[in-house]
Amino acid sequence: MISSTGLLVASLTALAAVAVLLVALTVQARALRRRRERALASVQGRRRHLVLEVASGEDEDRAAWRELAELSRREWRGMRPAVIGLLAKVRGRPATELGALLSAYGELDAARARLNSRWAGRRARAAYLLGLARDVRSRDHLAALLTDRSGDVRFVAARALGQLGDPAVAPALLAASAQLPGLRPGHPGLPAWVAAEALLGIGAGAQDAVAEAFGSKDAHVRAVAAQVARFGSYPVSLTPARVCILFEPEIGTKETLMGLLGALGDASDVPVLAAYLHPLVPARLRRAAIAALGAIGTPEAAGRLAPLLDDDDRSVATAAGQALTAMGVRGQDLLDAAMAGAGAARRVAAACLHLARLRAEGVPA
Amino acid sequence: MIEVLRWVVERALAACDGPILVYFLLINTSYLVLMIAASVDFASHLRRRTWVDRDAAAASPMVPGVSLIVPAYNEQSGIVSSVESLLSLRHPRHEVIVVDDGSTDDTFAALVRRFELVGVDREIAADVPVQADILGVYVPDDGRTRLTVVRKANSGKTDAVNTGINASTQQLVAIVDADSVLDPDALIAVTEPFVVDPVRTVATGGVIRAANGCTILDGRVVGVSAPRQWLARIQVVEYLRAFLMGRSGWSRLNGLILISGAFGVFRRDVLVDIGGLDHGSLGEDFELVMRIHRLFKERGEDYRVSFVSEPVCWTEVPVTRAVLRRQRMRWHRGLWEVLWKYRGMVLNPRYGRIGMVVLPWFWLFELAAPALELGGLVLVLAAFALGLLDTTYAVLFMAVAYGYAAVINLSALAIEELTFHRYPRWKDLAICMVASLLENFGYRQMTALWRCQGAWDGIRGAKAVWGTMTRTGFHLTPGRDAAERHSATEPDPTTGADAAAGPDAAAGPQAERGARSTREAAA
Repeated sequence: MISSTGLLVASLTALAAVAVLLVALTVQARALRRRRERALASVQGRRRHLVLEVASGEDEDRAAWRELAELSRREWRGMRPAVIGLLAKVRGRPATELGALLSAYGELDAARARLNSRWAGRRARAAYLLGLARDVRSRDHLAALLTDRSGDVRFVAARALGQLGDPAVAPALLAASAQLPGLRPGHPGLPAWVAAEALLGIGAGAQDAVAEAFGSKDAHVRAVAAQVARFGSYPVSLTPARVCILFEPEIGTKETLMGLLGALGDASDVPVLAAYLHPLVPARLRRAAIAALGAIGTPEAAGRLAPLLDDDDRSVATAAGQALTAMGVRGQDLLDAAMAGAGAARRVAAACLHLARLRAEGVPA
Repeated sequence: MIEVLRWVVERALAACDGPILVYFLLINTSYLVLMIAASVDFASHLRRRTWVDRDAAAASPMVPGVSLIVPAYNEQSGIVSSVESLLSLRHPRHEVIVVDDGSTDDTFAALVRRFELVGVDREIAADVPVQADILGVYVPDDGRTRLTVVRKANSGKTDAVNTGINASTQQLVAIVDADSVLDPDALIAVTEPFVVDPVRTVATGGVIRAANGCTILDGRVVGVSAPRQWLARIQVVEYLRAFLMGRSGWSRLNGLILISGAFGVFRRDVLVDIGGLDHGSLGEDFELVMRIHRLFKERGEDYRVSFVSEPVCWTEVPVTRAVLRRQRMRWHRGLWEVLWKYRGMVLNPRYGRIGMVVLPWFWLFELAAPALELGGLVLVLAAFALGLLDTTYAVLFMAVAYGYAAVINLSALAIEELTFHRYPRWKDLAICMVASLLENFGYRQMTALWRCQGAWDGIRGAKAVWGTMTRTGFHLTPGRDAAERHSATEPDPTTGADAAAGPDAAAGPQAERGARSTREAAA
């Protein structure tokens, strides 16, 4: 016998019970969800136009706002998701009005209290709400959460601080993007893009802190600084970036710095970028340098790019062709010259000019 | 003779007594662990969904660019809407690269007509080796639509994908089947791990769900409902179980070794480092991920292969037994070949949990499971027929064995309902529940047999024969049931099996259509 019959009967009974429980759980979950959705839809259906009026900025006499502020507790619970949902989509006065509505129902006070909760999920939800409501009173508390033990909480706190837009928190955001104590090596406190997005949310007020971060010993911080300076186009960052690129060991950061030099730099940056065109340099960096030289667009930059049309690495040659195309007439003249020649350069030049012509013809009048 | 048989069966029963119980306990406990890990993963995913602003991500300049590679062979009916759908995915920087793998129908002509393609003398890099010659490179004549069509001589899906990798210009490469339908946010979601953890993330895979029964309009799934055929309905549950438990669970445990060829995203530099897809492999998607694991483990680098549980990629599942048979044979053959190829990693501490846990699990509970299941079934039936087993015991034993499987299915359904609840109608829920039970009556045994046949073909090195699979696609006519069209165009089953792709069922069924789409003509 494989096993005793009794054991099999017991197992079968247990399995049947679990199966019934699972079916019941599934059915009940759906029924509850449906009921909740219907209740929400019923409450929101009657009042949704008021929220939309506030969110669209058309509630000039604040009549809709006042009506929303006088809902019963139960009705407010029904409206709350709609208000928070719209708050995430609006800016300016409508956002302030919706935030004030949350405040009127004590939501912001409750959220501030929840920032100290033992549960990471609660802390994160509270930080999320305070960020959406642009609650400046929570600034320091949110900044403190940048070193929270939960990655989710740090993530949400950073985004909330970005929404507050206070330049005073920029250094804290940069510091949080470094390797934090207690985390495994290679795991920064904040993912680079989260820190960078938050700093970009702060705007030009963050540029001094960003410029200073180029001198950080932490590679993560330098990576964030490079991204923010690159995508925020902060002129103050140009000088430290020029120094940083000379010593930066991280390829990704170097690539971003090249993009920054391309966007904001001038003819004086051409020699530095041209040094990365050497065949022994990784192709990724070569292509980044080519794009940056194309963006600078000076005659000297064009002169450095033209010989690359013959490069053995055809992805580099193609990048050079595209960079020359992006330069406009100057680059296209060089491509025309390459077309007149022979060899591999001719093919790249022809393809790039063809694509440029298609783009030019495809532009709607 | 009967006495000899009795003696053999009796001995076999005695020998299997303990091992079968242990195996039974281990396999089901491992499913339970995977289920718990998956549940934790979903809870974390759903919690994050509240505060991860996809609108911001969709507009962020920092999101890495993605090249969507679409290998296409004889996809004339669906290719245009598929490409339109891919071009309209929400993502700040993505391009679509269609590799026409020597189609003999109007696939290329349809693209030319719709996008007004013009030939450009563009050079395609040779970053990964390819076998077939490139016949031409084409772009839309507006010069702006981010579409490139590469025509090449027919050489199979893997070579088509490798050509696409060479033509790609973005940091990330997504491999998508020409007949897959992606949710609008699928690309943003599946590339999110690369943004959050850009240093460690090397590959991600998305959920594949059965599109049969769904309403598809302009290349988008606009209505989800259960298929009309029971064969497809059972596969809906099977896919839920495989992805909601198998892949999510393994991903949570940092042991994901399979990303479906129908929808996976990889770092381009990693693909170039490993030389692209293995041209000779039947389970090329599985093989690719295994090669990535081996590379990073041998380099001693910290890395991550992740699974994203939402949104999803929809694909048709077979609705005829002939096609299903070929699919399952191919998957299991692919599983065997890849596991055999990487046998050196098994129980090798150098490969961490992949070598010590995941691969042994796949050998024991994925590759061997159908053979053991069939063997057990035959033994119990033989013992019963020979009077060695009483009826009550036989029935109870089977009921427990398959009851546990049904409970696993119901758990997957419960998790689906508690998390993503994509099937809105009560009727569909009921159908899925019934399908969870029905799977054990015939379907399971049938697929076990086919899987054994597939593995056996692999073991004896039988030549793979690819059949022709002409399809109309489910994109063209809005609102029609995908499965109806699928069955209407199913090929003659006598044309032979098509290519193998990878493992199935609990480890994860893969979209068969993608696997077969371009390889079939390569034979």
